[in-house]
Amino acid sequence: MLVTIYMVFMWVPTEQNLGVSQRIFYVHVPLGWIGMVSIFVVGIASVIHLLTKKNLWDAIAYSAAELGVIFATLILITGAVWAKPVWGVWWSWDPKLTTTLILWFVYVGYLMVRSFSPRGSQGRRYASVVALLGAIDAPIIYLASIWWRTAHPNLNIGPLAEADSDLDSKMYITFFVSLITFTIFYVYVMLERIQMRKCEDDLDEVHQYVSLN
Amino acid sequence: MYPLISRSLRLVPFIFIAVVSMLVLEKSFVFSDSPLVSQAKQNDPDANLKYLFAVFFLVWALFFGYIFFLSRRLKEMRNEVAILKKIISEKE
Repeated sequence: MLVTIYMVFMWVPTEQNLGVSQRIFYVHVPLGWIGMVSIFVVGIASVIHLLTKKNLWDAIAYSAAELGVIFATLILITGAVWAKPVWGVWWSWDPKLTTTLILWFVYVGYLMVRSFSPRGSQGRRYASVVALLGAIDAPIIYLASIWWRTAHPNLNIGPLAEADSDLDSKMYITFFVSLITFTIFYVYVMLERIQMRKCEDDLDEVHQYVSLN
Repeated sequence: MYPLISRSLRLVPFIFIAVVSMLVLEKSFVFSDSPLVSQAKQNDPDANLKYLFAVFFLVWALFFGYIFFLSRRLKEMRNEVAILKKIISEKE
């Protein structure tokens, strides 16, 4: 993380048109990547949970959703802070921004279903359906700048990125270092949260056992 | 207290930090500079440095907030385990 901060603030050259605010790109895009990966993890883990009924997959889905809401919130906040100096407004109802906001609502909806539904398999099944519907939103966010005319910059990274991308080699290196750093951070916190979630489930079972006996 | 309300209350400090940061940044536009100064700032590549710092500040604030939430939850779980151990030993 310290290396990433050093590279973003000191090493990478400043973009000519956007100035220093372009450096937000090295934080905003990795956060966006993790936000989208997370909903896929929630969706896939939910499908496997629905098929196998194993609690481990539910713990993975729940942990990914909780982290997903953090990252989705950060995508929206960093996007708004970047939009202000570049577009002159904090927010616009651009397709990419709107679909990202929908993703945030999907994550919050998933966690709310888990909070409100009764403990046990029924609530988990309801939430899994929400996660599956939410997973559809991730490719829509990625393709929004291709499908619709948007103010959001075109794709610079990824399989559908433009061939004539104007990123400098130092910018590419900084971006990939930042992407790897944030991904490692995400995986580490995710593994810790899954362990914690499993402990929470075990504690619930012990509580039920103690109250019954 | 209802679980949803208590969870929402935990979010209050983060929302507060975000709103204050937005207001501080917005304030600079409300009390804007003269056109000449604005033009000079626009040509200055470092003019938007505050936005870059705001982004890093908010990202790290939320990360630390989440880690703090996890550590609190871990502490609660340890307390629950201690209580359960006590209940089971009393029953035995």
